Amino acid sequence: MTTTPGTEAPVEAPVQPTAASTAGEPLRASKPPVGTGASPLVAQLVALALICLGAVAVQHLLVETGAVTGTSWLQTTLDAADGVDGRTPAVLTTAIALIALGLVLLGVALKPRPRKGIPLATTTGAHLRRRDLRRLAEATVENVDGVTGVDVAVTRRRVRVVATSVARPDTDDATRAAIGAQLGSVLDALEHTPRLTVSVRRDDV
Amino acid sequence: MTTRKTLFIDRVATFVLAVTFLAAGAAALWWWSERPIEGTTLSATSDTRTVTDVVAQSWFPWTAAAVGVLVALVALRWIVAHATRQTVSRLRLTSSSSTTGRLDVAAGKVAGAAAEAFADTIGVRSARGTVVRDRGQVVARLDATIEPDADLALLSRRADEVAAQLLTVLGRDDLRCSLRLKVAARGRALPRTH
Repeated sequence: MTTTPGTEAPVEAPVQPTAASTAGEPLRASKPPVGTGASPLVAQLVALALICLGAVAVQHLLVETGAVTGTSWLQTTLDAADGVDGRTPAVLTTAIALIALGLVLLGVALKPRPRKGIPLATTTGAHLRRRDLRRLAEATVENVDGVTGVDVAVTRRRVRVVATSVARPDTDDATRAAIGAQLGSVLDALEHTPRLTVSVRRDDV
Repeated sequence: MTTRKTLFIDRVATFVLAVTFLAAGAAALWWWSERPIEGTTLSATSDTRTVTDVVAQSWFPWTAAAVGVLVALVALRWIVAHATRQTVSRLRLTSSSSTTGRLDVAAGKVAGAAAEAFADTIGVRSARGTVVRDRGQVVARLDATIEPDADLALLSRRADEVAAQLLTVLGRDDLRCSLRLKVAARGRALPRTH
């Protein structure tokens, strides 16, 4: 149980509450879980860079007023940037790096928030992550007779199972059917049943 | 957890940074190529004299330091905004009125009790509950860790049951529910019996 301190003001009930819910009706589903993408990371690096810029400005003032001995970082940078030849390979390299970085950041800024969950067939909202469905599928397939190893790849629309079997080759179809039946119960519990592909690999020992 | 507002600011900042980098890269490429664009070419070597003159002014260090400190403080606030949690601690019940008085409930306790009820299901290892604000909704969020051999259909039914109990207890139709299942990496070793 978690009781983290949070917003102090109580969350108000709607002014006109809708008709009292009928007993047995679950809470409605929230919006599906999404990630944040990489923009918060970029933003925090920008914020850090801005703090560094502030420090440079303060250091310049301290040097100018004589509070600190040494040379101003700002002055050093300006002196270094003066008289740079534009035809050097360094300028070309910088140009290419800036354009490449700019394109990557443009992608980060415009990419929609990634969907994180696979919805379960519930009235209320329930989700699991792709890796969780993979673990469930692996645990299920491992219980099938003759299967010694399993490799499962999960996307939102597809589940691909490669099972390693030590049973006789003529039982492969039966193994495949058993895997399909076992996994069916897992996949049917999802809101959108993904397409299942099962292949059996021989493990000749 | 980050609010939508912070995420929007992050996106705008990332976009501005991207456009700045692209413009700077294009300008550097133009400078390197020495090609005239509409009859204009950049000088062969850089010249920072104009900037140096401004920096040498007596007002510059004070102004720059003041602006610098302000910008650093705003940046610090921006970083802190990413660490804020959106937990709701109290929920007002719909039965509150001017005659009966105000009725608040500890949101975390109620969600925690719902999580405990869900954790009693076979195949659920542990569960915890909180109430959070998420994208404009108040959400009862239950996070549960389940066993790799758990029965998903059973868990789905239990999720609806627990969500229905929450609605009965709180009577808040505007509250939403989100159950997030995680599968334990390894099945729990059950005690052996001899």
